Amino acid sequence: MSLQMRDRVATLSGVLTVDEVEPLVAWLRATRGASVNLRECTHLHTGAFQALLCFRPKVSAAPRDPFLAAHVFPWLTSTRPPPMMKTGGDS
Amino acid sequence: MTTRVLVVDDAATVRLYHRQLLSAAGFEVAEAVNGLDAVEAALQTAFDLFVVDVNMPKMDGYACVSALRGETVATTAPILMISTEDRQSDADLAYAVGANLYLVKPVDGARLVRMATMLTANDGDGDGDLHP
Amino acid sequence: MNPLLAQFLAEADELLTVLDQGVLRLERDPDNADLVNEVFRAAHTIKGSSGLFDFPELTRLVHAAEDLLDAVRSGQIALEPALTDHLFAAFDLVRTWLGQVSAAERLPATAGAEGAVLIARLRAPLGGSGAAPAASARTTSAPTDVAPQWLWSLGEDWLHATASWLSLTEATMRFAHYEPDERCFFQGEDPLHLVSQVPGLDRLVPVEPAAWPPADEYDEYASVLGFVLATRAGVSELSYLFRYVSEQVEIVELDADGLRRLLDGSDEGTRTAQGDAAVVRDDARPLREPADQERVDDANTVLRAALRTLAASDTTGDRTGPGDEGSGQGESEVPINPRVGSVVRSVISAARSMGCEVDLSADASPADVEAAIRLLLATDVDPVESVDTDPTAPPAPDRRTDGGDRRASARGRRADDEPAADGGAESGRLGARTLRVDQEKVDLLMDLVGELHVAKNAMAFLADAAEEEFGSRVLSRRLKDQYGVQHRLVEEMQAAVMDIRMLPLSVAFARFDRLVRDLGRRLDKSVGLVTEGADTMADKDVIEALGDPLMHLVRNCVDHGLETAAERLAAGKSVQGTVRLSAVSEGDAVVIEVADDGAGIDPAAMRLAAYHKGVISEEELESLSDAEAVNLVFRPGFSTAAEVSDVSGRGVGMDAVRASVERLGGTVTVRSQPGAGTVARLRMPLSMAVTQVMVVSSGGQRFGVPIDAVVETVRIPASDVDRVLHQDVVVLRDEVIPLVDLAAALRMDNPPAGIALGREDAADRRVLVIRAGSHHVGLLVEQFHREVEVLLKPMDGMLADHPLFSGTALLGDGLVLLVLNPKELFSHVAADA
Repeated sequence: MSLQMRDRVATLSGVLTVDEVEPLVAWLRATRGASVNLRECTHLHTGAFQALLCFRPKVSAAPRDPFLAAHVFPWLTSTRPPPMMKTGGDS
Repeated sequence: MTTRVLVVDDAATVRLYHRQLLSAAGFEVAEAVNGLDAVEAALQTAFDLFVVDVNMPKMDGYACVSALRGETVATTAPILMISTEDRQSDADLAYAVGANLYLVKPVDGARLVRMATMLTANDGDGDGDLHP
Repeated sequence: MNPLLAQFLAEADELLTVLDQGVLRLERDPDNADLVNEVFRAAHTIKGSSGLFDFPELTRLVHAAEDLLDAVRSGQIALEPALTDHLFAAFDLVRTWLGQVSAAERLPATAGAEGAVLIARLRAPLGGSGAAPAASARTTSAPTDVAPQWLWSLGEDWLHATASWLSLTEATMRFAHYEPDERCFFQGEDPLHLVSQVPGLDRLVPVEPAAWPPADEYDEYASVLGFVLATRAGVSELSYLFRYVSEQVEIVELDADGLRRLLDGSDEGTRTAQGDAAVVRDDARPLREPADQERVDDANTVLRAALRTLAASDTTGDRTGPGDEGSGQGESEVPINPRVGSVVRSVISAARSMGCEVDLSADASPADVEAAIRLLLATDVDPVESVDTDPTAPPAPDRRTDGGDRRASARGRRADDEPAADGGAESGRLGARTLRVDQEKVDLLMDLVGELHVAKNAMAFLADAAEEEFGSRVLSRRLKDQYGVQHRLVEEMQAAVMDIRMLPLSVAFARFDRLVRDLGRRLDKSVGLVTEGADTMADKDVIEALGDPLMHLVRNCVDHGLETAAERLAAGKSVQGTVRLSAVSEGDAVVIEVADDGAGIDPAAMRLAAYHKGVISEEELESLSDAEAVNLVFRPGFSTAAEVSDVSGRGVGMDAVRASVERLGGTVTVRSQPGAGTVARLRMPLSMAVTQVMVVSSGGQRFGVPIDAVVETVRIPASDVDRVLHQDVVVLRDEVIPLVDLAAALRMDNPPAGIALGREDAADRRVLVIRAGSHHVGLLVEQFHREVEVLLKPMDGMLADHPLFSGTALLGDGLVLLVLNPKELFSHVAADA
């Protein structure tokens, strides 16, 4: 089971697939003071990562997964938008 | 209560730069030009923070920090080491001798002040206890 | 003039003198280590101090001189006359520049070009940096690339640190900017998964949209995140990895200078553009990070550094220090290890800035301190591999090896969700995409498939008729062949439709979190719910029908199964009880368990209670095994609760649960370990729509028996039927099987002559052996017919809830078939006996 939603805490475990993005977003929309537990999460679908960045729930437990811990978790811990906005597409 | 910082660097410009930054942030700044100088100063004054350059003549930063943490001075004050090297081995050595933070030059001034402020955020009485 | 600049000019002047003299002396005395050190340090100091100002060309030139001297110092190269010439030329140029700086406070416009020549000469002996070639559309690979503006996403500090690292190692690094298509989720793409596979990933930064929409307008199906990453992987590796989205990815390879040009271009300054390279200066500036993001980053940096200090210090004993420095060492009399003490202070400080308080004293054990740090970091970084000088540059994780296919095909939303905003007309390219379909349409499709099954079955009847009524064997054969083809197609079609109707059990489990919590509160018990296998799929109807039985079982767990906190404590258990809901697929069935870690069911007490209530006979009291005794909870009218609580509902027992589960074609059993808990196990068909039944006739009527329950069909001579204790039995393969006359059991009038048992001893008896729970029972019938697939519909009208039947079905020849419920039949008969 990869998505467990309670009153204020959603627990994400294992691989969170595209199918779980929608219930997660619905829950985030409806939940004030939400927090998410990522301890056992091994992968987040981009849609879920995006939703966490947009709704900014508190992260109650950091992921153990090395990739998520190093590259995803740090962006979920601030209460304000992360530093960079899209600059004009120059390439 | 003032927070005392000892800036240890053989480069006069860097010492001045750090002095300007830290004074502006409300620290009381003293300077030392090498490790020996720093250890002598630390025996005279209880500093709340050390900002130590690595590459110095007479006694380099590693030996200096080692001495500050050794029985002679035995300070528990935070030590921030600054080096131009960002090799893993250099950082490892810094942590091994007892630095609390290892930053690579050029250190962004604002960041140095932030770190200095954070590292001295507790009440500086050295016992590590918190008084609510 | 700014005093800092004045200070720098004075200091640099002194140092240049040291350099000139030192290099001269080195020519005569090349092996003088002190001298080499002194010269190196002088260059190093100029370089370090110059970094405080906006003199990138000067810094680069002195850096090149410093690196050369460093190579001399380490014995890599010998200081040849040609090299000292270059060094002198460099020092002279620096002096010239400093003169300009003291006059105009900036370097001359020609500095870049002048410096570049000397830099090349100074760096030549150190070997250039090789760059991997690249071949891909929109992929550039010359390290002299102009750094694109999107690099700013990586953070200024990080770029600075990386630039100095790259210049130190003479290396290049690959950077990629990936902007996935907004509709990529519909293609089954998962950009984050893709970037997680980048080997040697050094830094990954998500690029968010300039502004997030309000919550109610947020579209979870639009991919709006971009990614900027830095990696040590080669361009070709990256191109290969991103080969399917190459038009959405830009890859560049840069060396230190490339990064520095970007960084220099950002500096506040009064300089005009230099003519040194094709640097396109842009007004784009890195936006400052918001303060609290910075604070968290800083705190994390300090915490990770603290981990490293702890790890590096020899904190096992009271010795302090690595021992490779000749300075004072700690001794055992020192009550507080200064290193640990300082770490404690820095951790408390960092925690404060994050808004947390930690309870650590200066003499805390390193293990406690480490635990506190890890708690604050809430992450399991290995201190040895952890971060370094820069918080924003975490260690590159190992390449992921769990090759789980995360490209889940986007399944249809549930139809009872709100319809798609765009009318569901979502089109994508090839690949999985989502269509939202009204539930009614799926149900209609299911009904049609069911009807098709039935219509197809009519062909079998037709085939029989062709032979029997029209005497055409050939036509009969052809019809049978055709029937076979249609049968296969309808099977496949049914599977496909079934698949659409499949939902994960999480749908059924979802409401129990709340239920368990509320019940626990009402009963003053502390209860936690654990769910497992909620992604197991089953048909929508099954899931919906499971709601009530599961609800009842869960209530029972909390109400009767789990003890009060006091009882649990007395039993040496955790105060919090646990209810576990789990699901696993087993072939055509799904097995759901509802377990608690409560007091369990005492079989002896069950037997006695059942006996006192008259549920079981004295004989059963003796003969029932423990496992059977526990399952007495399902007997009608049985309740183990000492008093009826309002939770489990007055008078509603587990018999209701069993009845509804069996009506769905499922089974439910209970096993229990006294003191350790109880598990109710439901085995449900994955789907209830189409059932295979064996058609038999009895009393002149046809009945269906679910094929699941059929063990075998046998004909036995009447003489083989024995009577034991008023019960007809037959021995089959050493098993005594009680016989039940179906017509009698169903109280059917006028059984055709010669059918009743013992009348016509000469005739063979047709026995349908069925499984009822753990028993085998022989049904005496008149005729066996074929097996057919029927669309089983629940009984309604007068016969609704009739225990002996699980439903009705329409046969191909238009007759309504009553489908029996074997288990009920058995207990019904057993009760009669």
